[in-house]
Amino acid sequence: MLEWVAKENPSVLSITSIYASDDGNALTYLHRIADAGFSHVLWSHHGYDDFMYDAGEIQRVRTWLKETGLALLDVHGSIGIKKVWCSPDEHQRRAGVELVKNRLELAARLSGQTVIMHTGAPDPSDPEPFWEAIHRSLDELEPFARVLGVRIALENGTWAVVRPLLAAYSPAFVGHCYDSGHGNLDEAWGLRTAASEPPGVRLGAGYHPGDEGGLGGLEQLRDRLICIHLHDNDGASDSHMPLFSGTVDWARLARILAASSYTGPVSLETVMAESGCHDEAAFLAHAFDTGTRFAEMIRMEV
Amino acid sequence: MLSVTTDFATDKGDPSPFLRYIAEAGFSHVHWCHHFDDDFAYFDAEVEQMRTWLAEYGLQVLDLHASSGVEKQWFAPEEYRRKAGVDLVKNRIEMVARLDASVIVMHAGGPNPRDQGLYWTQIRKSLDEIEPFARERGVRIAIENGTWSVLGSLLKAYPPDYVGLCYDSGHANMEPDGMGEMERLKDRLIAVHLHDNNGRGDLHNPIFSGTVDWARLARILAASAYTGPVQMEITLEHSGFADAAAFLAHARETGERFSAMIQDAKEL
Repeated sequence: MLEWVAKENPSVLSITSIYASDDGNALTYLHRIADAGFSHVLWSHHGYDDFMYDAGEIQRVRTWLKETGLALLDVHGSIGIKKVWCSPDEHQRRAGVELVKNRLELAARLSGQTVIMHTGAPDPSDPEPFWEAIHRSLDELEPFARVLGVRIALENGTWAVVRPLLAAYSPAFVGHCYDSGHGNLDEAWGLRTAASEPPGVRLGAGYHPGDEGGLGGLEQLRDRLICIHLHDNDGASDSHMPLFSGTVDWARLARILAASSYTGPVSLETVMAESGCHDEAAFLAHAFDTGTRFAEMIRMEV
Repeated sequence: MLSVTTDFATDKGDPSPFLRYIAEAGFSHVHWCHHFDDDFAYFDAEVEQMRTWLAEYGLQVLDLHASSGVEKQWFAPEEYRRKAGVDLVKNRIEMVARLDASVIVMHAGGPNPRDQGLYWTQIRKSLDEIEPFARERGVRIAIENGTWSVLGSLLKAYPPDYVGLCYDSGHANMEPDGMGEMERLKDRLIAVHLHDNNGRGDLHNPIFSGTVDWARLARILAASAYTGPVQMEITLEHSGFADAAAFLAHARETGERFSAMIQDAKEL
């Protein structure tokens, strides 16, 4: 269960650092996050590129967090563009491992304990190189991560990848990050297509009829849950909308989280882009209200 | 010997198909320009892969366009960004040495009119920090013409065996007498970026297609310190060519023509 929620501390809430933009100087956004009342931040800057943080840059982020009074909850690692930890090309894979190590180091130096990673997915016509690459990368990363005391949270994109990897690696090294928006796409996609597709045909992001994704997938993995990305959508696109604005079943999610191994605060990965709100302060105030409301729903379940 | 930039079609993504095109068009050298304007740092495995590709296609690196970065900027006023920028320049120095070449090209920016002193402090600090690292690897930094007054000051402050000039014919063509400015510094010339334009936009078009005075440039280059091959920093984008092979065939033909003009000027 969520310890932060159980402690009845409604101001303990986290949001992504890129709610408005992932460009430029993050300090402005951190100030606004703190001003809105959040206590924690999911560091997501450069979560989707090949950027390597050096020691001076990490120190600068530490200073910014101190200045704004925010604590780091976790770091969104990057699957990279050319530095791809699951790439079948060995030079790209090795560079990708260095990129993940860079984020593990970043998390450790910012007093965080988790780096969230996307896993990618195998080429259906030739899956073996993907599996070899991702296992080799995880094997290489494990001693490094253990020394730093940072775990890798695999985010649900392709359940057929996340599940076997969680089975293959220890909870002390690898856990699960549940992304409610991705999960909602699984569910909507499955509901729409299960009747029309022949059994066994691959649906959406790794969804197979009879191979439950979405909240059902989370329920099966709730004992490995170490991180959450909460946001909403209409089941059609990954729009990272505010909580309670789309079709996510928040009541069911609250029940699952209350019974899960996750111990952190409610963490929002909502962004302004498709929210209809153009004012940062208003967006963050609304995010804070909905986050608090969801924390209360979990508390009721606890 | 003739060289062309690796990013004639794009500076992102996998460079190997473009290296193959360049080799098939008959070029002997490349100007490594991928990631010349971002914060990308090359790792050992990536440099090793480049060595493999270059060997496979029979190409040599002439020089490398290093990056003045986006967040990692070697002349940034913020110290943490400047230090990250220095590391980025060192990354390219290490890389060019491993690719058996000895020159990196850098943009140097320019002072903020509100605080000129800070710019000079930062760029000088960076050049001072980089110097022993570059010397150890036998690599020189060629500063590209952007602001001539900045360039002149930096060339005066650092010796020729560490800092030289890269002449960009397109940038100079958008100034009243950019070529004349270069002529005064021709003894420090160690790299060239040759391309053409209409004098208004930095189009990176094939040579002889715009308003650059190529005859005068050939005479100046013939009398300069530059000893390398003709090196073209041309791109497909505004060239009128849709096909990479045709574009490169034309580039080779114009490059050879300009090489001959320089040779003729030397023999006069």
